[in-house]
Amino acid sequence: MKFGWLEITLFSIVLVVVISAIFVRGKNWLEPGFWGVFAIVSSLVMFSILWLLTFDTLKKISFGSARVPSPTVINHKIGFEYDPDKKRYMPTIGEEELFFGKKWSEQEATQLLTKGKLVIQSRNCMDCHTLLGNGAYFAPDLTKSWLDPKWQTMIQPMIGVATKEETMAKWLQNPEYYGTWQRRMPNLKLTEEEAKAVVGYLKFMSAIDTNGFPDHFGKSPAIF
Amino acid sequence: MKESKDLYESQKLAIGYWIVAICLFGAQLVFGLIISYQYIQPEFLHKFLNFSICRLLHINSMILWLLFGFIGGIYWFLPLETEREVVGIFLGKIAFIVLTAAVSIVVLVFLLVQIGKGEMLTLWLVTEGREYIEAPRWADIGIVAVFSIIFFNVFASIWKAKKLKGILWVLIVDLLAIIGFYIAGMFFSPNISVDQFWWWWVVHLWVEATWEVLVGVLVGWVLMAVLGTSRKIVEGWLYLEVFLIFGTGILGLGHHYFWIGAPEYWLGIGGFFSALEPLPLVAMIVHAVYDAGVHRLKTINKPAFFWIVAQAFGNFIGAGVWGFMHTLPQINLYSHGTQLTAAHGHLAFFGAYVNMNLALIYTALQRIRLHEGSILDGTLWKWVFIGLNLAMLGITAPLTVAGFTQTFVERAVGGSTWQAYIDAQSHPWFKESMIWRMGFGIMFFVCYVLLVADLLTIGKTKATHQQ
Amino acid sequence: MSADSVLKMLLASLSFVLTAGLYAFFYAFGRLKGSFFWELFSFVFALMMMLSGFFLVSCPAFTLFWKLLLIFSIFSYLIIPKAMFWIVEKIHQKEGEEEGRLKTLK
Repeated sequence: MKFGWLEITLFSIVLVVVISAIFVRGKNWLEPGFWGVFAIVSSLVMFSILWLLTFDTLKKISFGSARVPSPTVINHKIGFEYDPDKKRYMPTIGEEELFFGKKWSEQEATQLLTKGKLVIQSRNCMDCHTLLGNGAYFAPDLTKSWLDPKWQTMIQPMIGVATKEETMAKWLQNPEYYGTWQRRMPNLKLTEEEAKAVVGYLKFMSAIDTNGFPDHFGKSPAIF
Repeated sequence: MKESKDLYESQKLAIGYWIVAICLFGAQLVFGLIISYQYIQPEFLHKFLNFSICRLLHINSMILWLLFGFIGGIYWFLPLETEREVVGIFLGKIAFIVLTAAVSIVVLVFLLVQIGKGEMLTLWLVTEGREYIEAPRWADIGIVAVFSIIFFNVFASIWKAKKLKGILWVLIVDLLAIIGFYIAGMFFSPNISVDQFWWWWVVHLWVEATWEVLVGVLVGWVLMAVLGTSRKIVEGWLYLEVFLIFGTGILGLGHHYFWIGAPEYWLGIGGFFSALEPLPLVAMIVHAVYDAGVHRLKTINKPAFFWIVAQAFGNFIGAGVWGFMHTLPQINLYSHGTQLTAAHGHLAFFGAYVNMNLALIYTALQRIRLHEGSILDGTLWKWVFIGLNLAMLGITAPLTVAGFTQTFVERAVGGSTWQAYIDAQSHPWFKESMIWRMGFGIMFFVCYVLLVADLLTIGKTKATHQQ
Repeated sequence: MSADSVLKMLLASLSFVLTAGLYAFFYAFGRLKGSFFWELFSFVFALMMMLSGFFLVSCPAFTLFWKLLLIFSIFSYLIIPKAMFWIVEKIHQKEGEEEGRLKTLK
């Protein structure tokens, strides 16, 4: 869409006022019908604009767009760096790296993510954690969980496997054995396959451009 | 005492809806108390009834009981408006039984099965795992079917009575929108940004648009019943409300799209419209004060009147103040997904919807229990009114303090990591807030018990008197 | 933006709308009672509302557009109570609502 948000906003308001003004000519503003016109016009205008924006947004957040990467992003190193031009943090997609010891084809990666999403929904993750900031507040936000330093500083030495993804998969299958705090995640009976899928999903989610949320993830605040 | 045979069949059905609603209200509070205790003692019921299960039951029973209450309100006032029995009332009764049975099955599955394997079958039979609309897909379809029957009841009655205008016209369109938006939440997408995009269509457009308008309709009916406000004023006011709610609320949906991966223009659109959202709520305060002041002594139903006035203030404080506090994107970047959201949710749902439902039920009780012209009043309802409102403030104030702590310690200083989260949750301000919240939660529950006692007895004792 | 300023902005936006509402409440209350004291009292909240609003405007986190939006909100909150009171009075006058009510309640 070529228009900026300010134009859209002002356009919608002007449209409501102008169309309503045409229809209410000659009506007394104390009559209910006067406001009835405004109610109908504002609902129709705002809803139509929401529809237009929905089509535009769905195009911009499909797999492989600039904001939501293709599932094969799990074959790459992912970071989260400050972008001076946009004045906010942006995910960075770096050089290739193996994920669970192999390179995933587009089809395999899509299957993995679909499985991961199904597992996340079937275990009600969202009713303790937040995903992209939405959910319950009993457990940490998982938006950038893949980038969390704790996996390497605390969990990996505890479990003793070679890579971060294996650490996460192992931990997810036995969260109670590797307690990190007084609030323990219950064992949700993830199979190895399911745990791998969830790890893949977390890696993919950390590469979504979330307009800078959460700000300066994992970094000292002194720089902002 | 009035004989219940004076009531329309549809009004008897309304009473059924309200009984289930009040029971679900109790269930909501029990699960709320469990999860508030799990914040203090995380090992409580660990492995048997984890936080996630109680939490989803807490929020889902809330949605359901409010909805049951609203449906009750529709069935109560519809025959009065159309001056005839509701068309297809038998179907409506079957819908009620089916809905109640389905809710019981879903709750049992949530309690006993809890989770499933990571495949589509789980989404169809056990849980959909999306906050607020966890109900499995079969229940979703059932809800839409039942709602269609209710819509048929409403539409056919209005059509036969030839009264498709004014308030009833708004009701029809709004019911259609409620059904339509619910369908937006019934599919699976592996892309979490797409998933949450449509998910907010259901959650936001229900709660912040169509429900608000439905409540506007019900408030209008209650005002006519307990204050004798003229229909013309109610209609004009309702249209104005629809104009302001849909005018700001539909694109205000943008404030949920700040951080889910959606394009940057939502920051501007969402921030702009939600900054405007408190303006009409402030205007409503003036109207409520005026109405309360002018009509104070002339109401025939004290409890309903107080709850309906509290609704205007509750809406302002919950949606207006607590909503605006963290809605601007520059602030929301740090406060999103903290206990501030919980504080806002508690106050807004209580202020806008719980108050409304209680006013509805008291309005009906007058008709059921008293002679025409008698005043519904008593002592107990006053304590319940003060107690519930105080307890709700007592629940949300600590949540707000906890939210400030999280915003500062976890987000602004700590950089939102796992460890930063633990630091914030271990902060004394957070931990003590959780204890205060639990205390006021217990107070809320006690007041709920008194509320049930009052609903069962008010109007039956000699505290009521002839006008 | 420092971590402290996030907290200050949160507090300011809380007090901004809250005091706007209190101003509206006490203004309407004072007008209804015909009490000059309560009307004067309400202006204390109007002042607090303006102070919170201008604190937000002065925050460097907001760009020009947001500053303008906030200034617009401040002026709206200032005039809403007076304007709304006028409208409400007008509506009720026009309807001659008192008779209507007496009829309904008998």
